[in-house]
Amino acid sequence: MNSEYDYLFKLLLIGNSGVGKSCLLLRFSDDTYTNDYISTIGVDFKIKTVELDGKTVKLQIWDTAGQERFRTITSSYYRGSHGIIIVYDVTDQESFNGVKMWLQEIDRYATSTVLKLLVGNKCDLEDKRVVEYDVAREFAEANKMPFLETSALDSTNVEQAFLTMAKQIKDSMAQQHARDGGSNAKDDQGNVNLKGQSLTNNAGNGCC
Amino acid sequence: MSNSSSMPAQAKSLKHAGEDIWKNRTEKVNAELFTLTYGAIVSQLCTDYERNFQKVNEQLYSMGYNIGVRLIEDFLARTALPRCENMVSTSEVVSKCAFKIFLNITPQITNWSHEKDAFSLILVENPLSDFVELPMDAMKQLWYSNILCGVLRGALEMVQLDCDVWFISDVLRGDPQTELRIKLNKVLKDEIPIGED
Amino acid sequence: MAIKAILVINKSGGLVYHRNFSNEESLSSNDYLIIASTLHGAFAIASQLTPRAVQLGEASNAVDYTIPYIPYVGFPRSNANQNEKSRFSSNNVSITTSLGSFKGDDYFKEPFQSWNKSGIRQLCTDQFTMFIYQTMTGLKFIAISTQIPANVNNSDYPIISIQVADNLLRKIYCVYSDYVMKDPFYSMEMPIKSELFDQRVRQMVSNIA
Repeated sequence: MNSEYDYLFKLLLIGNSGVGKSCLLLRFSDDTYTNDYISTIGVDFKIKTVELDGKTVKLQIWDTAGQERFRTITSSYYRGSHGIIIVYDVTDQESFNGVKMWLQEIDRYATSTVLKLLVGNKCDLEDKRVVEYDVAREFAEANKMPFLETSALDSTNVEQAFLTMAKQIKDSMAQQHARDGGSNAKDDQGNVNLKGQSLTNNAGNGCC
Repeated sequence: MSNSSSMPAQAKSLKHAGEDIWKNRTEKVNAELFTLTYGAIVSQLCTDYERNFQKVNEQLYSMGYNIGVRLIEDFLARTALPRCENMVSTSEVVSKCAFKIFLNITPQITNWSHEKDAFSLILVENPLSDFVELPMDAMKQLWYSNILCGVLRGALEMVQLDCDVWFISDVLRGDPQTELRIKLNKVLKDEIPIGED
Repeated sequence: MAIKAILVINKSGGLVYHRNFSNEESLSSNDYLIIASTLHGAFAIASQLTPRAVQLGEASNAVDYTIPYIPYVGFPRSNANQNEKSRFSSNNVSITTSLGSFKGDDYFKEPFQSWNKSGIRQLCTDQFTMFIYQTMTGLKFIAISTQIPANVNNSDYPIISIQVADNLLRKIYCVYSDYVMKDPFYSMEMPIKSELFDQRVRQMVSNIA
């Protein structure tokens, strides 16, 4: 039985092809798996086990292929994600432009409460940089997601970001519980309460 | 009974299945204990929310939602019913099977919207409120059985039907009948498990 | 049919339960997580592969998704061999009381429809056979059997075993609906830590000779 861990969080890693998603993960996950499932089903898995408030949490990171050929089953990968990390390459403007498209995908397939994180990769290549830090930060702020830059030389940022995300997910689970159910409650005139966020996209992972 | 019985044969077998499962396949608890437990919860909530009945309604709904998303698995494991093709068959399943199995009542299905996406359930009996009289200050605001709306909302959402569910009237408030409304917002097509098509 | 493992995968493709019944435990919990999620993906791909011709052609109308009821799958063999009448005698109290909220001497008594119409229901290899029962809510209950069909050309064997497997897996779903869903401290979509659920699954599987 799954007696070794208390929580299983699903994190999704997305971004254009070649931005270094998999490299980013290799530095993060201690229980690294090199098996290349990507070629088979369009997704690879990395697992990191962390302790949070005395509970053992497994972060299962779904590392998706940036390629079009796997689009058709994409929705099943987004489904039920607790957190999504969007990666771009600071030396590749196209990959940063692509972030908008990825955000649309998230809106379409993921739950509305999913936690997002924007990561600019390869920031050690300062001479080749085309996406300025401030531009990306403003974009992230406008889209209400945390932002950080990282490089092959420095993984501490990433580690911290993942752990923060894990903690937020765990904290939000208890709160979401109550909020989800109440959000579409009718007022006493029988009108729909439109203030709360939609339950629709919360199917499944909103309960604790 | 209603204008919805477009598939009388199927409806009849649903009725039979619901009755069989209620009678022969489900363990029961004492109805008074159930009624008293629910009553204790509602009255405690009224106290906790300092008689802010709007808040009580919301809390009951929320509790119901969290029950519904779990109870649907019991319902499906027990009945193994196939997916409903439209809201008309959904209404039959809800009334003749779900309400029958869990509360031993079969609400009347009525007041269909023109588009057949919304209907009402008339609860002639309501086991939640058998012995209840609402206090004066709650008469106009409290939906005593609001937990049912949450249960339906949660359960239907788990089978990929995004519905609004609310009470229109309640005999406890002096209304002539207890009417619960279910309106389909949309079928969550992206959520339907792959493999069902 | 010797069941080697039972898995439960949530609708997001996350493994929430696994129980290995063979003596050698060769896989880590991470291995199991990856197997489950890979299977989740493979299941989706298989569904895409189901040829359009089969889906749209006349043949699809002829496909019968009914699973026959097989009495007392997962119950002790001595009980299963008794006739129905004697099962209601007082000797069988332990059986009747172990069905949770399900009344009677079996969880269900009628044939039922499979919700899984285009995904993988059975996967045969030289080493193992895998059975998948998917619910309308998107849960997957999986049984892995070590038994190798002696002769794959013998069409009787796989048909019977998939029916037994579907009966068993629906019963595990029934147990899940009681001991997992009705545990107020269970977090939805999270790993199942219920001893009661585990006990009942083990009991049922051990009764399958």
